[in-house]
Amino acid sequence: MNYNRREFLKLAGTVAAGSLMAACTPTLTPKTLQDSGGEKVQLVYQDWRTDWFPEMAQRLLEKFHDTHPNVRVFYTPDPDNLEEEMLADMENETAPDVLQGCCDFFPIWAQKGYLLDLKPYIDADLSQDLIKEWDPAQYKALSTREGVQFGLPKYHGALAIFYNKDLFDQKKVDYPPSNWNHDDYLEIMKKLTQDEDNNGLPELWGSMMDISWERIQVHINAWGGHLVDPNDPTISWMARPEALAAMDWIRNRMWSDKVMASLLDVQNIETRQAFITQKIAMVEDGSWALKDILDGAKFRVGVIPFPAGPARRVTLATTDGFGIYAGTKHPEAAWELIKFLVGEEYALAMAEANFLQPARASLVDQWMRIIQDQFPKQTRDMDLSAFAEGHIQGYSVTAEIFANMAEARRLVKNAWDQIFTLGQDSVDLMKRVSQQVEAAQR
Amino acid sequence: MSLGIDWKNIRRKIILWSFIPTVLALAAVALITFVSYQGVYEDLVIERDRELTSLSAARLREEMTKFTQLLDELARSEDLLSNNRAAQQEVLTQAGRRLAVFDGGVILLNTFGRVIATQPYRPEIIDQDWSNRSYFTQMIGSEGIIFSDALNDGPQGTRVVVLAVPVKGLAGEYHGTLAGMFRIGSQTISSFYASIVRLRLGQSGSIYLVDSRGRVIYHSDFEMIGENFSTQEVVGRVILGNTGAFRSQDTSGEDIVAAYAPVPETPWGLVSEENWVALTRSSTRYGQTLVVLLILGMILPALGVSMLVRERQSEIIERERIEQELNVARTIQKTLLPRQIPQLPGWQISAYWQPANAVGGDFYDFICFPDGKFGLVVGDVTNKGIPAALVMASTRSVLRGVAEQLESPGRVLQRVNELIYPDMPRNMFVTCLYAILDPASGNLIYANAGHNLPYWRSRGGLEELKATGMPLGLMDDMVYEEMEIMMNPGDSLLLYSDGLVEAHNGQREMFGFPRLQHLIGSYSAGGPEMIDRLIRELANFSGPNHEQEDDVTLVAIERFYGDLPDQQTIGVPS
Repeated sequence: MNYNRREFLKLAGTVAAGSLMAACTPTLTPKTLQDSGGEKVQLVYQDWRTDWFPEMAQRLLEKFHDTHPNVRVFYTPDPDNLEEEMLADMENETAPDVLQGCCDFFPIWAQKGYLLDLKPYIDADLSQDLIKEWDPAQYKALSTREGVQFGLPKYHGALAIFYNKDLFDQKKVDYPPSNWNHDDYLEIMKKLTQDEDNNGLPELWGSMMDISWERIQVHINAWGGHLVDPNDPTISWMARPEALAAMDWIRNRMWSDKVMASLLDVQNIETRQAFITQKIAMVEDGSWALKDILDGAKFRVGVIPFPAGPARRVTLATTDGFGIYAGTKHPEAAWELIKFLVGEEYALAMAEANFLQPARASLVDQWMRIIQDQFPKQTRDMDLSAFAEGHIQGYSVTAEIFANMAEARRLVKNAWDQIFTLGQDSVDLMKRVSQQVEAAQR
Repeated sequence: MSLGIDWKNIRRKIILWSFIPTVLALAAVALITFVSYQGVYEDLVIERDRELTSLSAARLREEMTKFTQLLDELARSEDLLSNNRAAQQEVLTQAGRRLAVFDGGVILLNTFGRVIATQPYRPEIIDQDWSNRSYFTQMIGSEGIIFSDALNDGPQGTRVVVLAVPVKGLAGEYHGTLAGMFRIGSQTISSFYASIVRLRLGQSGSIYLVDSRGRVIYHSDFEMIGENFSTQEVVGRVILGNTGAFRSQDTSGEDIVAAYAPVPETPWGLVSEENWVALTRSSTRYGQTLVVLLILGMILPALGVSMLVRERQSEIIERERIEQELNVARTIQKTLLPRQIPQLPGWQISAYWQPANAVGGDFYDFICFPDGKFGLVVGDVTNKGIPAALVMASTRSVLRGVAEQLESPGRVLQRVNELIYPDMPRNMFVTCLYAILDPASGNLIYANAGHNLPYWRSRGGLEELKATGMPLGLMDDMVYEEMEIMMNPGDSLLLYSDGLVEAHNGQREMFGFPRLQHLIGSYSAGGPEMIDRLIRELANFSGPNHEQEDDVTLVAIERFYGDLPDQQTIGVPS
């Protein structure tokens, strides 16, 4: 913390007064835990239920308890149906005090007023240097259009291309250069794809991507387009020429060139598994897949930043963050916990446990060393910084979100299954779907 | 008249003493209200706590459903029903992420209570006979969901509570028990505790959960977890399955409300101990408000009455002051009227003057000139009271001054009008009759500035003496007609103001000129007898409760044949 108590209180008062003058709405004024008179506080903190998370959380929370003896934090794993169950819990005022969220449901909780605005706390308690360490795209994605900062970044997942160096070597294909583009990408895919019996079902595919919202969006952004109007979450831009061109490029790789595998081409296994089992030579995946891939791959793995599109270079940043439930009885203690969760120790613990890329730029080097220490052979000559390039160079984007995202997802998924996975429709189908998506926003 | 009684003091004492019963009544009502409210409020607080704890216990049981459902779903897995231990272990391993909520792990017991699989893997207990565990033995009887007391069945013998579900085949046959464990202890950050904490119970005190032996398995003061509370009265009640609430004291002697309820379908009891002071804070505030209101209820009326009394006293003092001033004014005004009736040989002059208020606007005056002539003035200032009295005083002085300089009554009135017109207040004027009598000859020259016409009774009968002229002070540049009569012995003259003829009776009838003419005509005498009779007639006409509406002035002159009776002035206060 860069403020002494007097300065902190002064700042807190200024922030509170400013907020009141600006909006005339009740604003929580941050205060230190010392102000609460030593009251013993119990908090519930909900986060992932992965194999590795509970043990790590418990271990780290004990450290938090050492520095905050009056606060006891009980970790609980996310429920299976997180999005729906949390809404019910928030409605019933039984939601955890501190929780993680992401994607399109996290802003929905904020829009419904279930998440505390962290801005007064941030203004009073966090330095600008720290805030600058976060990817602006990611930080902004954790705020609403009205300016409520409902979350702080948990980690920075970034999309890149994993490639099988051994296969490249076997095929005598040069490794992709860091400044490559989609044309280069296509050429390399063509060189790597192998269909010895020429039956139209290659034994080895050049690359593969998940047919999902964010993954398609990244390509559309690279073509200069968008799925959603950046200024109006009820307007669809998915039928605009840039978007259609990007989707057409992907479809052609799958169904015209046959160099990019669809899910059916790899017998419905996950893209990551298809890469590990060497059914594909490259895969579009994120830093969150590092542990699985390094654990599973029996070959040398390379990483390269996402290829630039005709309009620009883009990569996806995840929007996982920590927030505070607005109904908490202990906002000050919850804020203390949030500060701990976005701190160096917790970030490095997540990096250690599952190679999660830290949200803070200053921790990227340590993160890379952790991975290299655990997988020295596979990561030799591996440019892990490719995952951080979007963050450092500022070309990350986050998932674009419609006002009625659930219906948009449903409509688009069905269309994309037809276009990409089954190849039964052209991208022109998106013109009709785009209208349907817009209709669903009204 | 004064009898030496201090009425002000008595009045003050009456007011003050009348407050005492009022204050006592108010205090009694406030006290009764507060005591009644306090009683009802305290009952409600205790009842509310009982209900709240009971509801919380039900909610806690509902929270546990999340965990039992997790186990239940797994217990239906086909592989778990097989006798293949490796497959059974694999089921638990594969479900490891979902089972992570059980921080004490999950174990699978077979039909006979042997441990056959665990998650995480605990090879040291595989194949152990755990058939003596309560969650196994109870399962045999009920085959439902079982919740245990605190046990040492966790990894490395750590203390846990166990949630167990039966593993059943498609036909409902029993295949074993799947038990999830939650670590308990002050250092544990179990999801089990998270499920309790997130209910946000016990806002102003402590809340804890005990097992059927009175062991604390959760406490809002986490240092208390693991303590044995079985000797506490409230715990004794809840482990018997009772629900209730009562006032008590905690170990530090603080007043509390202890509420307790068993957690449905578990051996656990939920106890909440809320601080009595915190719970009744709003009641205390109500009491304080009541006291403030009571004080205000006493002080404000007292202040109000005191101010009223002071105001009334001020009014009385002011009225007395005004009355005193009016008395002075009346005395002064009286000095402006002739003190004596002039003695004229062969003539009898009488006068009556009665203002409607303390002071009035009517006046009369007699002026004796050096040549033996005699000036006679009757005037009436519009309006009544002090303003009229002031105008009367100034008019009388001006007229007397002018009359000494000029002989002609018409010129006198003209000059007086010129002098007083500029300073006459708006809407005020003076009617005035001025006559000069030559007592030797009986010649009377008069002029009239809008005053009532005098009545001249002679051998020729009763006659009004007319002369034209506007009231004084009304308009500038006025001239006044002068008339002349000869009063012979036996003649009489009556000068009067409108207070006589314009007086009303109870039926709002006016005394009027015809009545006056008739009365004058019917009297044989003039002078004081006539005035006396007219006053009596006026009194009879107006009635006993009549309030004099206007000033009344009468001046009578009578010429005699022989010796004169005494001159009189009637009705002029001494």
